[in-house]
Amino acid sequence: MKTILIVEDQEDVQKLLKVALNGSGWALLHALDAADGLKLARERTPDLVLLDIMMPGSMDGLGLLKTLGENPETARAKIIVISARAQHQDQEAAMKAGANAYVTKPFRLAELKSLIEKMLA
Amino acid sequence: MASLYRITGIPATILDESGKVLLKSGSPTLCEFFHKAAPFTRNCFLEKSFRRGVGRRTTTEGWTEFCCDSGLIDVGAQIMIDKRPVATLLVGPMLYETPKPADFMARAEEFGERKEAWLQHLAEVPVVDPASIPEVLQFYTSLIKILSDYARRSLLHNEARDEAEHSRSRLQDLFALNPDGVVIVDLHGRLLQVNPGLSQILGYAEKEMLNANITDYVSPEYAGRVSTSIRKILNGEATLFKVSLRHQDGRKVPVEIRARDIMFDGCHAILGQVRDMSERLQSEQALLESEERFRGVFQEAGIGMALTDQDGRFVQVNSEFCRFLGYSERELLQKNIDDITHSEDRLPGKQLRADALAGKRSVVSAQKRYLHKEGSIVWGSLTTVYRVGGPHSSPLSVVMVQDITAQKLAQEAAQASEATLKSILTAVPVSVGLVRNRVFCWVNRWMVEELGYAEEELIGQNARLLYESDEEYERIGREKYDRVKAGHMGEVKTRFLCRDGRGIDVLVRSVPIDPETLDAGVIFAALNISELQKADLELRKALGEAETARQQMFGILRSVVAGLIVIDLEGRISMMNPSVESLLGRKAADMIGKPVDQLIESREFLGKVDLALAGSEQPDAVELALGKNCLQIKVTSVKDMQGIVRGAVAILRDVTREHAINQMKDEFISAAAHELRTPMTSILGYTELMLDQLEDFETDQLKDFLQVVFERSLSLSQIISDMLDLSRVQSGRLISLEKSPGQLLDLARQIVSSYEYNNTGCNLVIEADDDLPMMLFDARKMTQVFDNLLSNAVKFSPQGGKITLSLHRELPGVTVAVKDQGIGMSPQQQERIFDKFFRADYSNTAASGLGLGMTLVKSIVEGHGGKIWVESEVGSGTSVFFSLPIIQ
Repeated sequence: MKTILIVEDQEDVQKLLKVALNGSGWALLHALDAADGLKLARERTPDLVLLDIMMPGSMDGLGLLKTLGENPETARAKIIVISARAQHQDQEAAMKAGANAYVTKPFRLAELKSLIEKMLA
Repeated sequence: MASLYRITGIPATILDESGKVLLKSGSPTLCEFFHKAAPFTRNCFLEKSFRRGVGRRTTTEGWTEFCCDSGLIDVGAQIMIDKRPVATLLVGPMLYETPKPADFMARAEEFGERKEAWLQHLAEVPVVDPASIPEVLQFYTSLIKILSDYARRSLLHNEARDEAEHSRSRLQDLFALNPDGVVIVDLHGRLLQVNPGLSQILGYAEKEMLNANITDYVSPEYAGRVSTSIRKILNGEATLFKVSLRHQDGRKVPVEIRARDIMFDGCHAILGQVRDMSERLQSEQALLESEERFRGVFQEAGIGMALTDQDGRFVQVNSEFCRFLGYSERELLQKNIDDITHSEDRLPGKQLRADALAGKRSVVSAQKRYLHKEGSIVWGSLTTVYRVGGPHSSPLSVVMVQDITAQKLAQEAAQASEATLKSILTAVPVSVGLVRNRVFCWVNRWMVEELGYAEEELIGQNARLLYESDEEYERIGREKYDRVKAGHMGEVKTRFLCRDGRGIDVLVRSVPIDPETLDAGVIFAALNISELQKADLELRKALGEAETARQQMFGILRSVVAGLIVIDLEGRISMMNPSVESLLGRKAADMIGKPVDQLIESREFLGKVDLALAGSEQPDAVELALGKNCLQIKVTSVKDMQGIVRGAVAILRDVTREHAINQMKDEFISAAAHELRTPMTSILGYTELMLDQLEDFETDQLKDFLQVVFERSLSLSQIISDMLDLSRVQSGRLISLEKSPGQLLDLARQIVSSYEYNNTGCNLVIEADDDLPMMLFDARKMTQVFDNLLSNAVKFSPQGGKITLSLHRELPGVTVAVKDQGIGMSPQQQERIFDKFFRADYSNTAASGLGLGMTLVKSIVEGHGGKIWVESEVGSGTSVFFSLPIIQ
């Protein structure tokens, strides 16, 4: 079973993703900040990470993205960045830091699901 | 004569002028016998006082024939030498034909003579052919002339001989007294007698010399000449010869000796007069030199010189004289002075010459015109000295001429220019005149016309006439003449009175004719400046206005917030205002006149300046980063009324703040998108979830979902409402308030409790006075104020940091403060805290917000009539205060 780590500080979005992706045959992990997310990623080496960029704490989404890429244990995980920042330069920065896909908020759940399926196939 | 008589038989007698018989031939008694008068005087002959009647006729040959009653004929002729009668020659008595003895005897009886004696004497009277008479006369006349010539020559050549012949004593005297040497030598040259003069010449005593031979005293080289001369003398020739004698001291003495033969003590001897020529030779030498000098002076004198005879003919001319007239010397020597004199000057010249010859004058100086060979007129200044030369030579005149043609021409030109000047002075529209001792000597026409006086009313009048008062007259005299005396041009302004009493303002300038003395007079020119002064006044007014306008303009330019640099056509700074000074940190005083590239180096800017100076419009502004600041510079051409480019002006604007605002706007857009997208994500996500899988969820679950959707929709609504408020504030309108009475403290407590409920991790404390008054406020907006201030305090405070919300009674109302112990703000941040889109910390992306909070807070507080301010220090925390007045 494929494992998906969701790193999202906004609880209602966290909850939305949890509900929406539940029952699709993936194991779901949840982190409310980057530090928590990094810890879980190391422990559980997820196949895919859904990552928010703007998060509180000393490390934001981009920081985590880079750290995951630099860590051999976590480097193989596919990463989909989900951000409210829709500017082109934000997307570019994320892709450069190692993201596999960039999804801007608000997003369609159906589209996100098919993207995840494609990534994990 | 005796011989001739013997040949011809014709007796002859020569009488001297006094009637004495000098020579006589033929019978000495014959004449007396017939004429009964002896001797036959010249006077008798001339006065025809023959005792007996004598017929007389004068022949055409110039001799006179006397026919005596006795029939005897005498012929007389006066012998003239050099037109002077020297002697009278009488030929006769004679008969032209043999008389008949009877007739002759009858006459003898008539005269009472004895017949025998008559006949005896008659036999002695020759019968002569009258035709031979002229020849006989001619013979005698010639003979007498020869003798007379000889005598005259002897006379002229040696006066001493006459003296000697006439008086031995005089000879002696001459011997003794004659300053020349006198010597008598015999035919062998032996000295028979010498005088002291000779002793003087030769240095020997007279006695020493006697009996010596003359050759002993003659320089050997002259011995031949002496003997030759002696031979000549013996032949009866008087002689004059020059030899050198030997002085006793050995030196040679040049002498001139005149010698002739004399009878001395009954013997032939030679008398010599010896003249010492040393001095004469010296003086001749001196004369020669002096003549040489004169010739040199004559030729080389810088002036023209000529000698003329009494008729004005040139005798000698020098080269300068030739040059002056353009003729050669040869040409001039054939001319008369009148030939080269201008016709108008000829007559006076002749008159002067005539006066000079008459002895009335001897030296004349004059200027006259000569005719140059080329036909032009040349002027000469001449001095003529008349009648120079010795008494023996014919008098000459010396003419000395200096060429003054150039001066004359200059003089004529000066006269012409003087005439021109005078006509200018007459025509010039300025009063001009000449004063001497302040009395008018001359005034021009303009002065007469301008002042209304007649010329004769001014001339001779004192200048006081024109002044209003004695004081003014004195002042002008003082000021003007002080300057004139100091050698300057005297210049004063005064007022002249016209004849009709009108006054005109004049500017009077004066210069002395002769700077050395004022006696020659002072020329003045008075310019009427009444009109000028009026114009000057208007000009001053216009200038004043222009200056005021300029000052205003300058003031405006100085006070313009924007920086202004005025650039001239050469690219130099001609003006910059204080804004530029503060923007660029350079002093205007240092930069005026400098090339603008010393102030702003930007190539882009300088390119714009060049284009603007070329007249090209430059709509695009240049942006220039200057440290932290950013300048926007717009360059435009400065054109005059005719559209000609006179320079350029650069307008500098500090756009640092605008740039920051732009940056904030970008941030805002980004942030606003984020803030909008975040609630939208929940709204869209849950509704999609519900729409797709409605039957999969329980009612409670669905209610939770809808609750999220509702809350997020509310926050969207709040964001939109904030943005509307903001745009209202931005467009200058007040936020719409719904005020109602209430206690601020109640509102504060409510919010603080909600924060505590949300567990912010901070220590929130409320401090409040007891007697806070009731206030009138919009509770919703005021909640927003407290919410914003508290959330900021929380956002920038560390975990567990203390946040104090205080409310104090402070006139005229209540002052609220929110104090934290957070990171604090720099003065720059404090300054900008109320700006739109300002966010204190961009790095912390989680400290999200639109940057509109504080701007809205300020608007709300001010909407309530209150004030808001900040006190903060980096690292110590921030306090935000606001005060609200009590509104009744």
